[in-house]
Amino acid sequence: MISDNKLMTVKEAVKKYVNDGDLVFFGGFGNCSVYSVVHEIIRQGKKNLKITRCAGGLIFDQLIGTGSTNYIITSHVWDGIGPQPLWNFKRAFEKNIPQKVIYHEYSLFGLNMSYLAGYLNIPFMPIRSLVGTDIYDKPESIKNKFGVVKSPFSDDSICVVPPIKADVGFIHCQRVDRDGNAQIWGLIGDIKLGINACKKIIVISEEIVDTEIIKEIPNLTIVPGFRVSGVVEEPWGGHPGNVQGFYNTDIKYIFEYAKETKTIEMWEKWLEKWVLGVEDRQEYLKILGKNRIKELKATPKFSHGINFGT
Amino acid sequence: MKRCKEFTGFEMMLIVSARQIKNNDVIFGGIQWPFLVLQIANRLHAPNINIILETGTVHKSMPEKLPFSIIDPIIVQDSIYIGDSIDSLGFLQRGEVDIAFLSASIVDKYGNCNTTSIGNYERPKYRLPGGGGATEVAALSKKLYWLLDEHNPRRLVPKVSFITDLGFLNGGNTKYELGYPINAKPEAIITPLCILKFDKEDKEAFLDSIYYNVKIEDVLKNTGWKLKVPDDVKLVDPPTVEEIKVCREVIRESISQLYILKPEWIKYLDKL
Repeated sequence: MISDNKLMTVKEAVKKYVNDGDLVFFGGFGNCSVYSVVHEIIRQGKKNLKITRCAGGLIFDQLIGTGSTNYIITSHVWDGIGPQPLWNFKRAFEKNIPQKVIYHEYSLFGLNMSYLAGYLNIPFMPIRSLVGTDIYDKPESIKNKFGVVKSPFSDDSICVVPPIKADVGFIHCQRVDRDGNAQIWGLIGDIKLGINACKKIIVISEEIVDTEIIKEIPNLTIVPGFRVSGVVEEPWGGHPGNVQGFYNTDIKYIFEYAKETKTIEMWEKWLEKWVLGVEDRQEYLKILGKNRIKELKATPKFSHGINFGT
Repeated sequence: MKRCKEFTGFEMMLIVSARQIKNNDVIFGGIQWPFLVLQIANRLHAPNINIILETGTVHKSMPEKLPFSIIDPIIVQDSIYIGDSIDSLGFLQRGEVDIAFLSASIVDKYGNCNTTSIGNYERPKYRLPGGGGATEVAALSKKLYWLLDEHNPRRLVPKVSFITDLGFLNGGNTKYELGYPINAKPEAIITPLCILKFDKEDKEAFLDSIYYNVKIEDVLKNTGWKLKVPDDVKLVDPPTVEEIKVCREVIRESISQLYILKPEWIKYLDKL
């Protein structure tokens, strides 16, 4: 019998599980980005967070702009659609506004392998890249960033990356049961490795379903319930990113974001409108408007039933 | 074959890149211009390409509609395989990728690319996004093509101030002394003026071929180092009417998908 004691709101999850100074993993790779959590972290004024995900994107730009973070572990920070800069990110690294931020530079493969090392609880993972680049040892303030080790089995040497285990991680998914068995389809990117490397896991979902639905196709479960501390139902929590089968990427919104956050004054206005001036996702969706929501809704395309018989 | 005489360097960059693709190639595609290249090759002569993306997806040819990016739900819906990012980058590390295309920001004469920062690293004049999976794609593909949408000394430099994506490092054997597979290498830099290739020995980029109506002096003037010019610089065939038609069709689609293109790159768009 599954109890309901993991069920909570985004507000409660952030209050209970995010502490100032924590290393936080944010799930989402285009698909299933945890925007609702990011906005709540900003509203609750969390500080000195270290944040990680492979594609920093608007999530990092916003947490940098509000001064919620001073340390990012990622492989790139851009808007995911075109060569437009993210302005808070630029202001922080070019002018220390609102504060100095450290960019713990990574490559995409390197960061995924660090999550994998964290997930498997081992001291490092070998990879055939990074060595020779400046990512390998910059910034200089980070000592012992990567290494090169000799194989015990041959004369080969290989680059190694350390484990990353975030204090807490959030994912947004299509469906979850009350115990936290979370299912994602569509792009996975770094979500599976990143979230499983976290010490505590919170699952935000478009919908909460019966465990029987999860059992129809358990291959889709990305994290098992026993690892999950909190379960939240939050439809449209992934906007402006997409959630496959639910809604498409709001490229117009992302395109406008780059224009609307160009100066600090513009950014503060944007922040007030979309984050600080709203209570929660429900109010956010009112500002987004019914028409836009209708436009973004995915056209259904169902998979044929899978025979899971014995 | 009917050739077209009116085209831009940007269009030529896309078409020349598409010509490098053979049907059935296993291709790693990066964001931005590589998507246009794949779409053009796919429609012209290579309907059966295998495409790997850093998001973890694998595709047999491109979807009918040009995706806005690698995260477009349209391309995800069209995939034949979805794994984690380590799966797609794992194929690359195994040496399965024949040919790769990446949009370049700043490239140096050894094919190294900087997408990290301009100026002093600790206090940069311009902070750029960082390389993502390009670090692996550049270092581990058998044939890597850099697509450079502007040919000028700011974009083609003697030495990048930060190596985000590894080309031949400091030339010669320096990359391979670090343990990289010997068959992994940058193949060419394709610009709006010409194709630069790399010397077999010292690995420095030289002028391999130029486009119709381009003068060697223009290439030299716009390159940030003293570019080596062999006696037998080749002349690239101008685009066929069919190539330019497909190229412009794809460019039109890219505009509706919010790709940002400069007006001078598309000044003949209404023709053909």
